[in-house]
Amino acid sequence: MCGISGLLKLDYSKADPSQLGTMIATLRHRGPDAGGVQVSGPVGLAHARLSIIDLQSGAQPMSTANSQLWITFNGEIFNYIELREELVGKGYQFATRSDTEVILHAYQEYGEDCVNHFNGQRAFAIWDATEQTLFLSRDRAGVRPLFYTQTSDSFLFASEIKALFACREVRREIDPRGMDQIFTFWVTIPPKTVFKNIFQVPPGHSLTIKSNRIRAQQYWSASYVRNGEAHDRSEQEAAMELLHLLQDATRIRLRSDVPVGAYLSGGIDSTLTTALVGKVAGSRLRSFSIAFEDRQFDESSYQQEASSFLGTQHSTVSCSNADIAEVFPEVIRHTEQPVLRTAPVPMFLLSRLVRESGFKVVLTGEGADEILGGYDIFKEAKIRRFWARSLESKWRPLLLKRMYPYLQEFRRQPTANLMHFFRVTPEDLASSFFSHLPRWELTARLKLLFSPDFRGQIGDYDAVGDLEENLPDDFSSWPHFTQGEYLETKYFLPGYLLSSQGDRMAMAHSVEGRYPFLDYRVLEFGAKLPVDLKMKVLNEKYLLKRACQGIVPASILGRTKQPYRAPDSRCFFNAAAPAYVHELLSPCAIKKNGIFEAPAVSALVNKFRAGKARSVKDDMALVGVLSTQLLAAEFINQ
Amino acid sequence: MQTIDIEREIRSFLIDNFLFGRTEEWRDHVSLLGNVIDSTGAIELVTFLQDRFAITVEDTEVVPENFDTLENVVAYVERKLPSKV
Repeated sequence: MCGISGLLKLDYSKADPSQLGTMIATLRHRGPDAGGVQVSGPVGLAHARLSIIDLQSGAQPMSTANSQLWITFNGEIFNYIELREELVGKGYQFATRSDTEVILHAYQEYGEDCVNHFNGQRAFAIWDATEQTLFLSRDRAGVRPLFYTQTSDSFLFASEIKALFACREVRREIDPRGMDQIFTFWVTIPPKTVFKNIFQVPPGHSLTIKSNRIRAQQYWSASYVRNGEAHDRSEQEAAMELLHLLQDATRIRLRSDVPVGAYLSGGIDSTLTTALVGKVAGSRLRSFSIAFEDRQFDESSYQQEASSFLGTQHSTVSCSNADIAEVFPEVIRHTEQPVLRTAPVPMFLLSRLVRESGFKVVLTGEGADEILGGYDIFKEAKIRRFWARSLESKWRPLLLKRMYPYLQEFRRQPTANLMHFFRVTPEDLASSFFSHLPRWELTARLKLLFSPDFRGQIGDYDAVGDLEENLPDDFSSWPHFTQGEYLETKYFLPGYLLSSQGDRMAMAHSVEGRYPFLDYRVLEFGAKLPVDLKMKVLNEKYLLKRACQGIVPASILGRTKQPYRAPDSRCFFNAAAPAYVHELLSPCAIKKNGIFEAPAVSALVNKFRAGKARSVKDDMALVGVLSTQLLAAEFINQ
Repeated sequence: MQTIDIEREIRSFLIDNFLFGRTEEWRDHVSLLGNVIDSTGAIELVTFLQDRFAITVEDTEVVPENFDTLENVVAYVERKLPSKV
């Protein structure tokens, strides 16, 4: 895993190596092992290397022998061994053992279609000197980031936005509509980011820059099951197929010239991943996890149980409320977008533990909830639809009480309030976003905190309407359950989990995460899987649990699902809270940035100080304001 | 305590706690449950009523007839108060 950056002079003057050096210097945390800058006419490519495969000869930027093609590459091509054999069979000669060189020759052989041959997690840029073409591409699921912008005379790209901001010509401005999206969906909708004129290559997309024109194309999207679509496998056959896919996805993700560890959260997904790693690796595996001082978030007992069952050498980092407050500014420097939860922080501490333990690579269970029916939001939508079929029923809405058993404040709510909040109207039933409307409507209430001026800049922009225009043409022919999964997989997964909580937190300490559930073969399997095999009645991840029998301890298979969460705003309100909290939430600092209304923020802060803030909404509001203020302090007000 | 005072105090609480103090966002006669009070907010209102007016609110009393509008909440509190002062 690495950091990449580069630029193309649109007037075709010579690229400036010092500018590239400045850009890549901001990404050293992604690649501390080596670095390189290469200028080829109007193009400059830069690379910060985290050496994982071919430690001796995989330096970048790399070129073909004739210097026709140059590449800077972040990530892994897990099937590079098979692709290499294929290309050798076609007459290509290799000077290294790296997957980087495989990309170069695959591009020579297949052109831009090469991306369809890769099974990996990667972002790269290739400069074709003959064609004078710059080609950028990002992996299917959006594991690795790739941002770009354009100035009056240059096209610039990088793994992280801070590398783009290293160029003086790039303006630093918050995008009100990007903020509107964050404070609705928790994420921005690609290619938008929270900064004006800074874009991201959407997952599964490539960009071609030639003759000053940018052409974007989607090279991959999963084909989703449709209503009434027949499937010819038995449950047992489907479970076996899933297990075999996961075994192979894990096998190729162990290709590394450095030791590989695993995250072990105490849930089904990471326990299975760790078990599969152990079966392939054969040696005693190192596993890592987070423990919380606050017991309502802590899953240590399950982690220990899984570790004992699998025989791993286990290490744990303990996370206190004070830890979260202390490192939050550093975390936001890496997320490069506001967050509404502090959950990225413990992931930041975990990657530090991994790195200090001498590991660069970890496998995790990320992605299973999205593609195999694991999230409570799917359960919530199912209950609401069930209730809507008989709105007069007295007992159907009582099922609402079965949701979110880990949220104490939720469970204390009178049923009447839950019924009103989760009420289903005919308009809701007809909405493409039925599953997510309660969450988005709750989050959108945070926009009450925006200042009148900032609201004016947002204008009549309709984020939900904007998203609706991006839906696939045949979306309405999909099962409702699948529609909800699509929204999670397409937007929330890459926009938050794989970025703010994934890549950015791991790479902050030069650690590479690998995700067997995000192998495109598993993604395609999940997209076509009948929904009744994902959630049977209200039993989430039904097929996965069946596939795990005998591999994952029965106690973990049978436990109540507890999503990963971390203590939120309470971390920032105690006697030992860092000074920045008070400073950034002061009316003066709020007014200075102009994004939020100072009296509204003061009312919120006073509520926390008085110990009267208890709701999820207040927690999200406080974390959202504080992270936005940190973002502005880090990137705008310099 | 006069009805108008009870109403003012409850409205002020609702605006401060659920609308971040933005008075201009308040709409008279709208349904509170679902519109103003969020999924985990009813307990906040109940706690406030119990603390401020020294009444006991039973879970079974948190129903639309008592909590769906500001007017309903005020009427409910008045019924629960031992006597008007």
